[in-house]
Amino acid sequence: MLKKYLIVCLSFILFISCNKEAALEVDMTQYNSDNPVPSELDDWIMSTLTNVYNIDVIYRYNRNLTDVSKDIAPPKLDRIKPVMEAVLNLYLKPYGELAGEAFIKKYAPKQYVLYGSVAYNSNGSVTLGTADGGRKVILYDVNNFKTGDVEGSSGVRRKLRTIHHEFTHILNQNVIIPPEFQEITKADYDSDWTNSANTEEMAKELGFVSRYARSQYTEDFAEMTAHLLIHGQIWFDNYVFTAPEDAQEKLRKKEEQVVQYFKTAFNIDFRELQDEINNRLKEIYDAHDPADLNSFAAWLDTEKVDKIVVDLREDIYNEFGVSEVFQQRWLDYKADVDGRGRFPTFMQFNFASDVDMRLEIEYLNSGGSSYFYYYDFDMDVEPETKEVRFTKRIPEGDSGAHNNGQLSHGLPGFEEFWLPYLTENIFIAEWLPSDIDKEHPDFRSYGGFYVKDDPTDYFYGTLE
Amino acid sequence: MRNNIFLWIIMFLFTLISCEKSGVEHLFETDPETRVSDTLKFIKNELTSAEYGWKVGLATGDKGGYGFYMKFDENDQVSMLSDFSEESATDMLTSTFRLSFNFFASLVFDTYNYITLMHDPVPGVAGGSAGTGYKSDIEYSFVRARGDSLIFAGKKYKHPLIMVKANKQEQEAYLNGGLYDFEKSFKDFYNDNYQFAYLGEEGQLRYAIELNYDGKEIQVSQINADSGIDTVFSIPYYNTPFSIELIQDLEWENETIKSFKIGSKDAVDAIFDNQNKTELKSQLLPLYDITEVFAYNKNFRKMTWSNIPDVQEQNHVFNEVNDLFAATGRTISEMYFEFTNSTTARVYVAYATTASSFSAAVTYKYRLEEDKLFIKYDDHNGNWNTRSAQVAPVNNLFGIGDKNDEREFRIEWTSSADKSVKVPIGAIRSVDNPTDLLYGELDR
Repeated sequence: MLKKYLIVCLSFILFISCNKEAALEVDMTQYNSDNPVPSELDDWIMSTLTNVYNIDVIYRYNRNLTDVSKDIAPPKLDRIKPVMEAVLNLYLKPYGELAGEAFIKKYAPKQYVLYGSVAYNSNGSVTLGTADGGRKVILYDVNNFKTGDVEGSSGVRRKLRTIHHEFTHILNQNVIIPPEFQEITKADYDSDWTNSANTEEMAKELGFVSRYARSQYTEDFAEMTAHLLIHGQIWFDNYVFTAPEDAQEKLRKKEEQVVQYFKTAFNIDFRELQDEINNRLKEIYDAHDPADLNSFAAWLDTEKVDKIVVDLREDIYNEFGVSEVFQQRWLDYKADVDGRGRFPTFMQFNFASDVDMRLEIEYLNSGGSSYFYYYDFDMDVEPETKEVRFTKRIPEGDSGAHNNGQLSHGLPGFEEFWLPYLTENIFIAEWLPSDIDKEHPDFRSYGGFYVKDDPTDYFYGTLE
Repeated sequence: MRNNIFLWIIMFLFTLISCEKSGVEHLFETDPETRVSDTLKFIKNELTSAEYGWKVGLATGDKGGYGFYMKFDENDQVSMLSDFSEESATDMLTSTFRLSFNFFASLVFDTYNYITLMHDPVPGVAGGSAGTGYKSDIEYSFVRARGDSLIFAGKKYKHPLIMVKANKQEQEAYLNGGLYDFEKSFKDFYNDNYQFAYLGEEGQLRYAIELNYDGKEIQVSQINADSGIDTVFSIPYYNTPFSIELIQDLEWENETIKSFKIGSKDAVDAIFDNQNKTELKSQLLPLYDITEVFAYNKNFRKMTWSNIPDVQEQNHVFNEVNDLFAATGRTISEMYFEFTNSTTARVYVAYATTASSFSAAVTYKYRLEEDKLFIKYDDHNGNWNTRSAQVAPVNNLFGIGDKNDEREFRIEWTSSADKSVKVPIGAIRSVDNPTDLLYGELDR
């Protein structure tokens, strides 16, 4: 009987002991009364980024989403949309188009946290962005962002470089960087990258794309990718071109590894992605490519070319072709002068400086002796657009060859065929013929011009 | 019987275990979450229901106090003006705020507005220190409500944020640029009417009050009946369109000074918390004795030449030296008398021709007994000799060449009749010929 009672009682006690659960149910929503009415900006974020890409944008200051010990200013309200539009235009959409919507929706960070100022580090450097665990990207310094300023330290390129840099980390967290990459400049990584000895010049000489790239190979990879994507190939080629030879080799190897990584790891054509981003930069933000330091126009502008010899009798025209329009012009001219008892053989363009061009045409007299006609021009080269304009210099020079050019057998042909051709057209200076590739022994030993509005009308010749 | 005992035991056990949450007695009447929620709602309601907005002041760690006008609305928007600059005092800027709970009920100014200027860690924005700005917060913990005021404290730096409900007239003043107009007119008024400002009566305990516009604080020195300095402390202030408000109370004669206003006569009134007022007085000379501050091991060890207008003395040694140098085409960049240690003093002149810079110096042995100063020549450098014609006024005063020629002087204050001169001007006056003296601004 006693036992029976005990069992019944104990089981009762057991049952009612569970009631304490109730005390743990705390309504956490009570801890935050703010339930903000969405502003126009919030609606835009919701419809453009959250609904489409499942990306949350946190712009209202929250100390706990960054280093809590630091003082970091919140963003200005009017900068949020321009920044996120740039992210959309120059990062989400290009990846979406080239790698597919599924790719970008899967890998894009799901949370963007924006802060107005930079975050100061104890070594005096500042942080512009971080990526956590492939899911969260923090962007600092939003208050300085200006869409009208493309190249500046607070401009579109700089901000988007951070975005691409951070995204590269996310990609690297999914597919690791090929081990060969870190071997290229292994000895020169230095965690103390802010050291004053590590100048930009020094980083370049050692084969790094930026000072920060020296900190470690993962940053190097992200810096390479971000610079290539956001500054474009011409910028990178210029960078390489102005580096010492062994650094050039290292930079090219890294470039190759980056391109290869995107192909192997994610089947993305890096070059197309690069073009897409740069086209958008030009269309939406009115960005311009830097002048190609290695273009023929840049060579003219920096006085690296003395002379182009255009002698249509040479073999190169059989090998690489000739402009029919130009050839006909030469033949018509030659027929005109031949008819006056002199016999033109070839022409050359002489560049005494970046503003001088002298047209020099060799001819033979009836005795077979060689003479020249000289005609002086002013030249105006724009390396950014590669456009070249010639204007006739007056008065003409007074050397013997200049005088020859004014004689009755030389002048009419010049005035009919060369003067209008050279002065009435805008020319594009280019490495011609264009089908000589990098491996060809004659690569960059010829150059010339084509008429801007009519690329079939061109001439080129041996450079001296 | 045995059954009954068991029943009693069981009943007893039941009473022990049946503690449910709903049965817990709350020390503060309701659940913590309900109280949190109530506090947040209370603050939000207070903020948004103030029809004419708020008069706001805060203190920073590095640069005194700042005043604001703020108007909060239901949609988490706050518009503000600030006495930070002319622009911030006249162009209303709107941003967001929120109330959240993080150990305390907190008011967070969560997008950029004028209040962020003091917080911004970038020196280029408002001139604060890199990484810390003015040491000011944008997150504030609620401390208490009192009458028409809400008091908060910065989450990190703990400085106060004081909000007082504005009335219609005050709102209008803010919206019509009153913040900037007041700051400017108060500054002009103070400049025109005060040299060394103080509270109290001469011969009794006094407060020397120094207004530091750039630092946005007042410096208070307690001066005892013997013109000695007892203590020195600073209180940050902020502007409203009507007054300078102190962030901390200033106790004076058992009453509490809250603010300063332009008074009816040519004086500033200190306003007490009971609305009584007392006039801020002014005198030509500092309130404390020069011996309190001028010695090799005190606040000031140098007496420096600068262009001080309207000094009421017959001889102006430093000015004469300057003129003599200028007449030879040389420019003086720096010139001072200095106690270099407990026994040696010197006069130092840094000057330049168009080609190069030079310095001339002479040293003296000295004794300083209270305000009595005994000086005798000790040594000089080559340039002092080369420029002997230009430094002659100094040599005439202190002597040159004879190491046994001890001369007696007094250190004392002198003054300028120009009220814009608010720096202490010290003088070394000859006892034998009281019109002969050297004076200059006291310097560290």
